[in-house]
Amino acid sequence: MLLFFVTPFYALLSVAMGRLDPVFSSAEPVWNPIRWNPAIFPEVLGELFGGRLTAIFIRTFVYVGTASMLCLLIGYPVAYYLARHAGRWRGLLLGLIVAPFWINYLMRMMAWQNLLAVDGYVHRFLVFVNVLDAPRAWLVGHHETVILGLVYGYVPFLILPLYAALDQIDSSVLEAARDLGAGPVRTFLHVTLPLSKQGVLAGVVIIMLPLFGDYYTPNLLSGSPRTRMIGNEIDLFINSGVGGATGAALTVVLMALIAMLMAYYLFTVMGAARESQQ
Amino acid sequence: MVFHPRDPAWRRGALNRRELLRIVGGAGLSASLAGCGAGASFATDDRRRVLVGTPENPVQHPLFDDNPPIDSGLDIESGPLQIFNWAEYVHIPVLNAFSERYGVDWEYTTFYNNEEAIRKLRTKAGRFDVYFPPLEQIPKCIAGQLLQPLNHAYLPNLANVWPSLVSPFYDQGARYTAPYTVYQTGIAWREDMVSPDLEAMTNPWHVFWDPQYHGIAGMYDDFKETIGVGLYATGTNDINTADPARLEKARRKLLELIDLINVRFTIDGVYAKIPERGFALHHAWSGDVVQSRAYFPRDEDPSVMRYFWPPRSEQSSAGGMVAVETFAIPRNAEHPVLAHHFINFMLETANALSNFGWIGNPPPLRTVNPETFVSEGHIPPNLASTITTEDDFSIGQLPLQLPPEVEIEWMKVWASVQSGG
Repeated sequence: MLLFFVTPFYALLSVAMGRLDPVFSSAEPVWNPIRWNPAIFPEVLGELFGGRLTAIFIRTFVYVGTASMLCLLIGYPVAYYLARHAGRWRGLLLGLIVAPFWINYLMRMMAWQNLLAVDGYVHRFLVFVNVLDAPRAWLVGHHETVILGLVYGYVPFLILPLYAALDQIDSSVLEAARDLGAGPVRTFLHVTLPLSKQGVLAGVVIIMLPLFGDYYTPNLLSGSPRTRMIGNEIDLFINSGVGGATGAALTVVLMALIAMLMAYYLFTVMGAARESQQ
Repeated sequence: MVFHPRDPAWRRGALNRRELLRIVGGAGLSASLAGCGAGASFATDDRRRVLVGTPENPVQHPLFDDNPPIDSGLDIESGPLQIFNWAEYVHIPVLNAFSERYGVDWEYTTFYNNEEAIRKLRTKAGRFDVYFPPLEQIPKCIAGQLLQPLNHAYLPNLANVWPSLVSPFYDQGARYTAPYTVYQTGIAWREDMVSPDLEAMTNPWHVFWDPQYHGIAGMYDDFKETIGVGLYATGTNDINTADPARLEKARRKLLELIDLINVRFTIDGVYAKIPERGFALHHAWSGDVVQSRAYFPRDEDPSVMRYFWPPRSEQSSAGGMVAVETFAIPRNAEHPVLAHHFINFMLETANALSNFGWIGNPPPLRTVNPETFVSEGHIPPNLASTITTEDDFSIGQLPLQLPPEVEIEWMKVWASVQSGG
């Protein structure tokens, strides 16, 4: 905890509330908290809420929310099938879901760049089978391209914890529901779904954390101002040197928002644990 | 130096101290003029004064007792020569020729952007022998004592350099730097996809605001360059401005591009994306246009590439950036004698020309004739307009280092443009 969270977080605060080197125009950390200058935070919050970064901030939430929902819609049936119906194919199917991790995320996105290019194979195929009459420019600032890219990149992270949660549901509970007259749909809605709630939450939290900080997916699949996310702004400021404090402050604000999500998740998990003990 | 009527006032020397402060340092900011006829400066103490030279107000950077140049007549170290530069920005056969002549190996370390380069130089973890600072990085590198003074006894080929850059305004006496290449920022396009008549436009930069280029036009993902286009497009040629009103006008103008042409900001748009038809029109570094030849697919014709630099237009009063990249030796270089010999080697005409054929930016040497670049096959006829000459420095504008308070305002404008709001 000290090594992996407290130290980097303290360094982040030291940069956000540090000083600007007058020669190198770079953000310099101030390690003594007594000398911290928190003036950057009202400035950053002003930019996020009603300022020049408001649009990108809202867009990030819309992208993350939509991508998470799509991940769940795709991931839940897959995880359910794996846990309940895959049988002897389960190992193979799990291996296939994990397989994309063997390839670097950036490489996979660059592959999609080529596939979705105007002269790429996806276009050639769709034109060949008459789904499209002509190639479309999918990589020039379309929200749906970036969101689908995010879904593609993160859906396996949701499937695995969800699968683990569904796999742990005692089959005798499901059989009891059926014995008491519940049909498959009612059993799913009133037994399976509530019992998998923690898995859903765990999966959603796991993908939301990196989704909020993602910046390379919009870069690689769009490059347009229309599709930039807050992670792009953090990357821009931190790599600019002079904007390092702003980048660090944006990161802290984003962390605070994500911490609220985490708090809700922990609250739910603790509540579920209490219920199971009673 | 001869100045062009289109030059902004600060280049023509028509400014008083207050105006110069406003432009280079920012009115009300922590800038101050250095004395003795120097350019603008900003710093916290005498020892770390950042001197920013302009053509009318050249600066001579100080020498420090604890950072002297190396002695003359020293033997060459055994190497390897540690080069710190942008990726693929020295032609490897030229490096191998140096290696063969002096019997040493070389190692090449790259950086992604200038800020990363400065960070690595400051950590002292990386000990490099040669670094290539662009014009706007030189003042801070010297003030921060990241560079060591050059010993000209090892650099007889400095005599080959353009007269205006032998003792340049940004480093009088070439105390810390020697010029490497020169380049411009203009407009590139594929003639087989679009046909903009830039010569006829009163402001060629306005081509980016033409909706017929929707989805096929791009700009650099570089705040100094692209805000510069916004400034040119709004009628100011002061590309180092600290004036919030001018920056705001440029911001609003650039934001129009999002809906008007669905602009995309990339760093490889010219050399990599135009050849594969990802863009038809792009804001372009002259060297990128030359390098694009290598990126055209086999079934495409590279001769469709065109390049235009607005200051050369008869119809236009719009400006355009022109800049210098330099050689320098980091203060903690392990092989400073070898580094001096390398700089001297690169200033030899044959080696400089060979390197030019690869990187696309010409060497500022009086011993090469830009008019023969095409006839000698260094670049194809369709790209003759990419050649930067000594005269271009009298009609273009040079990007200078901004004071931190001004730079952060530029960054905010850029963040706003990039986020679309």
